[in-house]
Amino acid sequence: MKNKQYILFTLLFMVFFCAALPAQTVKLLNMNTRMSGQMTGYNAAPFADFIKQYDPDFVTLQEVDFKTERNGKKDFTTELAAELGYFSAFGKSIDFQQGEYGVAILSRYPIEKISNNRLTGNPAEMKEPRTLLYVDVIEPQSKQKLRIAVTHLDHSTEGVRTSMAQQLNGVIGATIPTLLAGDFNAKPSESTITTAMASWQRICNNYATYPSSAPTSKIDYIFGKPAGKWTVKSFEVLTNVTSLTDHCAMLTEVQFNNE
Amino acid sequence: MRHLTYAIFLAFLIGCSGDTPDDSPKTPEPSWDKTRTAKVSVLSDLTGNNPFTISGYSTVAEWAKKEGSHLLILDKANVRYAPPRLHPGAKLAVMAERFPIFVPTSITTDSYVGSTLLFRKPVPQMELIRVTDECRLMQTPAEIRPGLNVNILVASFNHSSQITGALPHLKKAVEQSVLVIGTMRREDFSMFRSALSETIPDNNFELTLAENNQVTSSYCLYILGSKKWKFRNLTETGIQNALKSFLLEVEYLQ
Repeated sequence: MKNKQYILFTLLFMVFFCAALPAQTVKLLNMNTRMSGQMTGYNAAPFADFIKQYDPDFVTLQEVDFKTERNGKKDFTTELAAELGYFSAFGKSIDFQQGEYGVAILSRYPIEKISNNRLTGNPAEMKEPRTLLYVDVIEPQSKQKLRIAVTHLDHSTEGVRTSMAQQLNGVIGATIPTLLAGDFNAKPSESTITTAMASWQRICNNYATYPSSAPTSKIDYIFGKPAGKWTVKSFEVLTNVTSLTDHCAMLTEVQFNNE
Repeated sequence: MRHLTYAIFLAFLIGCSGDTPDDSPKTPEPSWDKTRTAKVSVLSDLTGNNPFTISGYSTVAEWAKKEGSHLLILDKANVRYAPPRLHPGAKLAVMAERFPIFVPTSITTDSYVGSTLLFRKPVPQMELIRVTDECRLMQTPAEIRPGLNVNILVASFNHSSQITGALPHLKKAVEQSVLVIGTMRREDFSMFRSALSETIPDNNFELTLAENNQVTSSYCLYILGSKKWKFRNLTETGIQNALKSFLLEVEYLQ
């Protein structure tokens, strides 16, 4: 009898404990690096120092150079990964100055998958092709697979950006919990945001993110998918970046609700 | 007299038997075509510990910059996730002008244990293969020469249960003529061979334990592939302290 009571108690405790176990919080920082550190003499170290103070799980970066002439043939992404002890992925948008130019992701957790996907638009309007880079990771405490994505849409026309946003929707899919951040070059009223991104949950608010010295435009965003499954614990537009970049950084803590 | 008769009879039998290896016409050993040879460098001390020390980064990076293999593997370039975080593979990649991809094997209370693969350019697409909760394999293409592309699967283990979990993936790799290279505990090697024999029909695979100079090392290097792959050579070069480069040359036969 005592044994039965013990087993019942243990089971009840486990049920209670599991129900009470909070979903894991994910902290993401987004930064447009302004030509991969043009304002820091193409030095990655000040960016690493900035990132360190927020201790994020993931960092999504735009305007990243890989061994271009202008940045002295440096690999900005790997330099940051080395400084921070993070895992990294780089997604090329275009060949540029004997190197590559695109976006990057840093991750606290080992990367399971890297996928870099070209985004195009009407050639008559588009300035240059862009990219959607995503990585899949396993969040170690919840064992939840997460997809972290980054993009930087072309600043040519609304039509091109909307087309690119539609393409990225097709690439991302709907099955894996996803956080997507980046420079969309689109204001909140634009169809790129109101229509093409309508199936996403807005993680960010509408506070202006550009220019960092005196923000007047909202063009940087963080979205989550599936919509309604993310609880935003905090969101901040960080303006203390004026020595690093012309865009404000964005920092968020979110929880994925897997019920 | 009876014994002598037996002896003569036995000598007659042996004399008539023409099926000894020496008498059969030999198939000439195909000469080594180095233009069809995959070169994989594994940097390791084969102890199972992380041999990449901060003081040794520059020496290793200088060496890595110059080496010309198709794939460079930093074995047990473990990533410390407990503060302060440290990713030796990324540090070395910056100095050696390479791009790092980490392939985990297991996890400890403060580190991810695994290998860092160093590539000349960022990797735009990849997906690790899950073996256990912590152990992953990575397959990557390699161009041996223009027009000759192969796939290499990096599969390192530090526990026999990981080997068991990896068998379906290794079988698939062999069937698809993917070259498999990795490190494992030396004591697991015979179990590994037996498990492969039970998994791959008709022993239709080539498995080689690449004999390093220190035959008692805790870990060993292995090469696995279909019969199309022929292990040709191991070159062992000291880099710093116990850290060595093991250059494995494996020919993809015509």
